[in-house]
Amino acid sequence: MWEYIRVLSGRIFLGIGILGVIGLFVFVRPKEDTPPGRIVLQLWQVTGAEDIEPVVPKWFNESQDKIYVKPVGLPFLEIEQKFLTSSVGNFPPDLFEYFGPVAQWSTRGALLPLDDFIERDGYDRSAIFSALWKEMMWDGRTYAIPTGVGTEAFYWNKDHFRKAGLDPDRPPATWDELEEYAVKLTTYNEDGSIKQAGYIPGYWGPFPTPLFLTWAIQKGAKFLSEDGTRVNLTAPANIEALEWEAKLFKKLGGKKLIFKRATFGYGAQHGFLSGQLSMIVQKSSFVQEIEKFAPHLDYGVAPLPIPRDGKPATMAGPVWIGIPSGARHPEEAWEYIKFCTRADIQLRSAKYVAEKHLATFFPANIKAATSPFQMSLPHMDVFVESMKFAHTFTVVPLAHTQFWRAYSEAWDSVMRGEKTAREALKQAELTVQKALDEQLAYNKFYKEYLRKKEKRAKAKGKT
Amino acid sequence: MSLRRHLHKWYEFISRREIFTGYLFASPWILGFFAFTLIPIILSFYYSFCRYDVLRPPMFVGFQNYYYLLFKSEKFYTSVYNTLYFTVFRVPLVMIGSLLLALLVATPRRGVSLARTIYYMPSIITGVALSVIWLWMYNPKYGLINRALALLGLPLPLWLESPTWAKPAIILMGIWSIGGGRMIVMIAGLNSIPRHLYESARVDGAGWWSQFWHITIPQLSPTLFLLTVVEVIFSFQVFTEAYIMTRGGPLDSTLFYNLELYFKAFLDYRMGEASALAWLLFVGTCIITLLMFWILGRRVYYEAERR
Repeated sequence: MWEYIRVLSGRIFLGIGILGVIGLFVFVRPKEDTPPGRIVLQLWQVTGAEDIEPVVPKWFNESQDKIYVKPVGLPFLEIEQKFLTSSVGNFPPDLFEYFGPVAQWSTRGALLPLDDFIERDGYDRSAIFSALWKEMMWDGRTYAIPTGVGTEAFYWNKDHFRKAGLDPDRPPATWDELEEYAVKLTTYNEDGSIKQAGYIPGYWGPFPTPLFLTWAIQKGAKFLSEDGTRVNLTAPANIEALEWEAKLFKKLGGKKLIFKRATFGYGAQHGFLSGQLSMIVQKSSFVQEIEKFAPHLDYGVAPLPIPRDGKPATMAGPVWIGIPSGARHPEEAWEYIKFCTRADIQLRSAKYVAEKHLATFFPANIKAATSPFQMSLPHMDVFVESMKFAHTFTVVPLAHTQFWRAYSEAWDSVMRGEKTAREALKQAELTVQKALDEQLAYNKFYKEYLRKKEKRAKAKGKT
Repeated sequence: MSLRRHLHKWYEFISRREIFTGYLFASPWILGFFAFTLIPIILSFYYSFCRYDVLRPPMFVGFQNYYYLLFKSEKFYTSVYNTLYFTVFRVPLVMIGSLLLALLVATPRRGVSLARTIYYMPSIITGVALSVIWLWMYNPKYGLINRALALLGLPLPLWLESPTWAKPAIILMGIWSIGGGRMIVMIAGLNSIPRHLYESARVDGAGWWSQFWHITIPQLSPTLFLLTVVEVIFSFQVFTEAYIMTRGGPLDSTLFYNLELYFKAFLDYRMGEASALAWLLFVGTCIITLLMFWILGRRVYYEAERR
């Protein structure tokens, strides 16, 4: 009897449980936050380290009642692959906001050309920093619109300058001065190892990834021929710049410098932030990192030192927004792009971000970037000024990753004294040229493929 | 025959064969195998003859990818050399280390299960977390290893920042994976060796070394052989450590095969070349495994075999 009741009650409980789970699925639906009757657009963007609420879509949704933009934040390490998969599956998001090279996607037909929209609506290109447009273009067409930007500047530790007997308000203006100051600022331990490094060529952060084309560009280096078919890394400007860096590297300690560099780490262990490095070239948002990890650091920001026969230059990395090729609502997506690149919206979002103390937003819109509010932010004047001579990172659009890899490797082997600048650059040039040739052939094949596809579609349309 | 009888016969046919039910139960896996494993494998073989960047359709180029990799690419041979170097040093390190540990904890005595647990524990931490831990240990100034070397007054290598030391550094990480599953399998193998063999050897006056060399090793050889083969195959696939810690650097000294493959596939989006690399690795692994069966396999002693 008891046995029977026990089994029965067990079954009853099980039944209630199952019904409950089914009920959960049937009656408790996820809250639909999209209002009915609106076209819903998905906007994919990178989620930052700090959880910044994407406010621009919110403002856009409040500003009108036809389109609803739903932001989807993806981690930096996943976004490229997710976008790739969704594009291949022909079900991409309606909008894609990212900061990697545009060429990665535009050259492979993953983004929609925006020129028709730009022309039709009279979109003012000159409202945005002109240096950024080159990155957006491919084959004479525009594939994305810059929304924000990050640029490079020269940072120096004023305390170190005072201790070394240098004027703390006068950063090095030329390469020679940089060399001179770096030597003066380097101090040693008793055992001969470096205690405080004046400057470490190419040191950026935890990973020794030299992203510096700046020195070569200052000397007037071009990395690709006008027609985009020949890679040129062995021009005198390239070789001289790399030779100078290698000379400096050796002069400042060579192996000892590598040892010093290897002791630096993430966050507060960063060389400059931990006060073990006096001068560094870093991005504009480094200001926030200093604020976060080393708030008492007395530092200054200036444009990069220039060579005697060179002109000022800096690198700028844009954040851009584009419409994927297979997107279902390009027209509505374009409305959002226009909205988010407007001067007043960019300023509003810069203010919002600054108020929340999350980071600084450096707008790509000139009017917003040069507004009194923005210019009142620490060191912003230097960054805005440097946009006049900024260059974007993608110098070989068709073989960008190969270029970076080959160039970084060449750089590393020259710094370590394994190869001369000429040898290393020659080898890198060959590697990149080969990759470029292949890509050009592939590109030709792709164009032919598209032509045939169009032809077929036309023939089908006729019958 | 009416349809009904047809159906009936069919039903009987099915119900008699339990294998059908078996397949039915296994079907989620079988479908998954076809969709996510077999078809991609076949496609990758096709892509290895193409130029392909996922977004654009593949362009057939014949043997160009293979030709380039085998005859024109320095990186390919660097990565092969690095991977072989890694395998040659890591496999003995891990195998001998694990065997010693297994010998230590094989005999049941007081507290041995605690020791086994402790020796097994490091292998729970793998991949990324492990790499980050070792990244700190190899820090030339603050790292545990160089601190210890400094106390002993030895020269301090740059480890991951030095082209000479980066590879040994990654091999030394193998110490961490001594023990683990390998040790457990070896303990099982050791405990299945018949006691009477040792007894009679002892009666004959054999010391511990000859017992070990003439009884333990031959009796354990099937286990050791299997583990070695598996270990070699896994060593060919070394990736995470180098990816997290060095990214193939300094001067390509830790550019392992799979890392190069990853860079080709997911950095450059050159899926054709990456597929060719994958197939070459497959062929290489097959050849080396067959060689191992041929050379080592003959020396393996199986109880049931007639000699």
